Amino acid sequence: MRFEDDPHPMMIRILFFAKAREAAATDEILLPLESAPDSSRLWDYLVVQFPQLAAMRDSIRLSRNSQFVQDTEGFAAGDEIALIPPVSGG
Amino acid sequence: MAIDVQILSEALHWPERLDSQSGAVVRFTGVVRDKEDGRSISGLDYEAYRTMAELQIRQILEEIRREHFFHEAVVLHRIGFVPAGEAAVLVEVRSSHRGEAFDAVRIFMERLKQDVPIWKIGAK
Repeated sequence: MRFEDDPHPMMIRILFFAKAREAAATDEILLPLESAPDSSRLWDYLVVQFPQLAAMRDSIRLSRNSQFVQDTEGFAAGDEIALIPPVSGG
Repeated sequence: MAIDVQILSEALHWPERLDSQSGAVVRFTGVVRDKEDGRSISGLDYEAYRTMAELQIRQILEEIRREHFFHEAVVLHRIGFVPAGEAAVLVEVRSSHRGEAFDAVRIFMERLKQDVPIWKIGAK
């Protein structure tokens, strides 16, 4: 789901949920696309900015515009990326 | 509509409707228990990534429907504080015969607990 009225067209939005939100102490950040053009580079950024996330990295899945990210997939300006810790609905 | 998905912050109620094509209606209720890790609780807090959760639930149901054909499915999931004894999730599947409806509900609940971004975030 793209955020259509984004005033920063070369940015991506990163959402944090549940234990990832608690670890990062924020629920949302904006990043320049060039800082995080794919999952690997995003994680490089996240573990530096939010060291508490490092231990959770293997259990957290990423989504891009509400679909789980495939390993080799790149991001695009306007994307909404989310950190999805193990789910526990129902 | 064949598939109805809603994430709600209020008590859940079964939809009422007449449908003469389905010989089987299977309903599952997921209820918050009054114990968590051995201690008594008054309820659980749930959080959802709402847009993704609704999309994923819909996709999972469409996928299941290709193998276990059903006419209609309704999934209602509650978020926020859910008191013990109340429903966190309602799933209703209507199909011609019981086999497909039972299978679809069981498979859906397994997938919900793996791939739908909804979390229990704490007990009170």
